[in-house]
Amino acid sequence: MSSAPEDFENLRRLLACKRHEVPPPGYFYRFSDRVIASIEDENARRPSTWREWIAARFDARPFWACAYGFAVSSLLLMGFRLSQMFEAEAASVPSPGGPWVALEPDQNNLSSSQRFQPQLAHAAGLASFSSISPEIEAASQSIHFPTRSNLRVQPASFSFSGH
Amino acid sequence: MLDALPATLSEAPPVLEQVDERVLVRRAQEGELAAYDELVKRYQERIYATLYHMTANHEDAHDLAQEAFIKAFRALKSFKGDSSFFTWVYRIAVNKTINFLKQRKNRGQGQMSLNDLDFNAEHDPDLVALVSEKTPRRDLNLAELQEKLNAAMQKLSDVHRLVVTLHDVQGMSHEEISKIMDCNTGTVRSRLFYARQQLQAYLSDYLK
Repeated sequence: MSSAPEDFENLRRLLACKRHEVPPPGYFYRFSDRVIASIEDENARRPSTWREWIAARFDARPFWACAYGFAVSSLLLMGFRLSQMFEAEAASVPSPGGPWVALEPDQNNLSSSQRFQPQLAHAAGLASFSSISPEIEAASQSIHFPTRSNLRVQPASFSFSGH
Repeated sequence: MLDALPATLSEAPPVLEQVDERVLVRRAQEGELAAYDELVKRYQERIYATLYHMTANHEDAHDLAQEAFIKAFRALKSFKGDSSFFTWVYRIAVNKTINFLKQRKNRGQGQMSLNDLDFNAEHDPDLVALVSEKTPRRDLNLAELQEKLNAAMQKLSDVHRLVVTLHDVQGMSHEEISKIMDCNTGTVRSRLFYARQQLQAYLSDYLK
């Protein structure tokens, strides 16, 4: 890429004529006065707010406007992702009465402090409320599942009073 | 009495026209409007001229220059002095103007209301030579040539017009332009080269 000055010499001369394009005579005489009057007027009219403060800085440095926009977008995206994760976790937890069964942890792999101790739970009055309560273990001692030999068919009749 | 006069003058506070820019900025940051008034007076012509060449409209350039100085005053406390005040306020004005031009383009308003050249233009040796010798169309006068140039300038993109204006019209260095446009000097050079090529092509009939 060659940008030798002589390549554009005539153009440069022509562009120089734009230096002679001037505003109406006396234009700059009162320009700064108008700027100062506007500033004084604004100061008197409205107090500075934090939004104006930010807007003024963004005007001066557009980089900060971009950085601010990027940070806000990132936060929103992160919040959205986190909410999705929480929703997914909540969906995987079984609801009461749902089809999922709480699994009893393997008592052999638990440390002594993690291991469920029914006597302590019973003493605390919590045993009957625990989802992993080994109450069923105690009860299982007396549960007898019917077998074909001890099944007996008995006639049954029902009557409803008034009918 | 006469002997005491120089001592009195030396002790008198310097008039604002002679005060250093950094001192004026510091005083303006403290809320002294007279100091800011002096800063506006120092740079109003150059900023106005740039905005005028960008917008090709006196009223728009006036409004934008005024708004830029007002915004600069509001943001003055954030000015840390990393660059000169001139570069900083220029950046505000240029960003404001580029945003304005985008909006104007969307509204479809690109009218021009350029002023006549001032009296000195007729005596500018470069222009006299260009019109009398270089232009193949001998009957083309300076005003017509200016009109063609402005039409060609308006065909450039905003950033290319800005680079040409700052460098070839305002006479700024590549380094100054890079600070104002917040890019490196290589980008400034390539944009300038491209913009000149475009202008050369648009004005080929008048620049042979």
